[in-house]
Amino acid sequence: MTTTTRSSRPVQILGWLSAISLALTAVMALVISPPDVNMGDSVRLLYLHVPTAWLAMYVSFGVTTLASALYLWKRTRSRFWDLTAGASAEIGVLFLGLTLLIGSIWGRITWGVWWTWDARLTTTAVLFVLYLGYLAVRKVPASPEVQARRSAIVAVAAFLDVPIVHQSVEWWRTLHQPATIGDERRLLDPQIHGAMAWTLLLGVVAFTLLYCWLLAHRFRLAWLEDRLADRHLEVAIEERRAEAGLSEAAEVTS
Amino acid sequence: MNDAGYIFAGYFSTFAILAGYAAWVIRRKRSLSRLLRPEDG
Repeated sequence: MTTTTRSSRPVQILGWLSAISLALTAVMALVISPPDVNMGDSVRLLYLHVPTAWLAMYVSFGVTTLASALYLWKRTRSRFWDLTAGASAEIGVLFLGLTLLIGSIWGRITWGVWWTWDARLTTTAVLFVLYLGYLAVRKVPASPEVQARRSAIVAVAAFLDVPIVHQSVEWWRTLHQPATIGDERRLLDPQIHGAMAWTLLLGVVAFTLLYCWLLAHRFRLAWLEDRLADRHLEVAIEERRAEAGLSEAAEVTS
Repeated sequence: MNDAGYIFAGYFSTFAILAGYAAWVIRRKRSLSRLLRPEDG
């Protein structure tokens, strides 16, 4: 890797593609897509809520867990996996925060409250706190190996909440609606209008492209932070050696 | 459009937060790139 300030061509293209697809999603969601029969115009918020939730829980935290598992496995242990896990988790926390924010606004319109201790909402909030904890664990001072190993263990443990969040609408009586798309009982008869389905699909693609672009940049930043920390350590060691050399020379002359 | 205030607030805050985060990552990445010597790459 080099320390040039410019992004590579594929990353630049990815950035433009995500910006264009996000703009298209906004136009589709706010102008073209019709209001829902039951939810009215508040359905327009779900074109952000569903993709951000999908990105956070399954993609970002999935990548974090996979990268952490690869770090924990001795055969594949590498600093690359630790940095990937950390970068992906930070983006996941950002997306999950947005999921909760958009969900809260949608809840205010539909349920009349900003928040309720519903099973889906509560398990999602727990997931958010768990990954905030993971990011905090990454900052706890230790040697890079110890830091990476304990972060990887926390990441794998935190992911256990994802299937609980996913199943929460089935396991408990909840205000949150069950899956409209992806429900195996409705695969051949999806209960969604064509324009709505296309807008949702475009939103998922747009946010996935954005995630890939953000991950490329955030990984690069993490790698630079790592290099800088190594350089600070080298400078500190050189200074200590110089100090030790000076004190030895002073002892000899005295 | 009903509840337009809530809906636009949701869209505005989402895009503003994402743009702010992306700008922070890119600015910090550029400043660290300049700090590090080319031979560190």
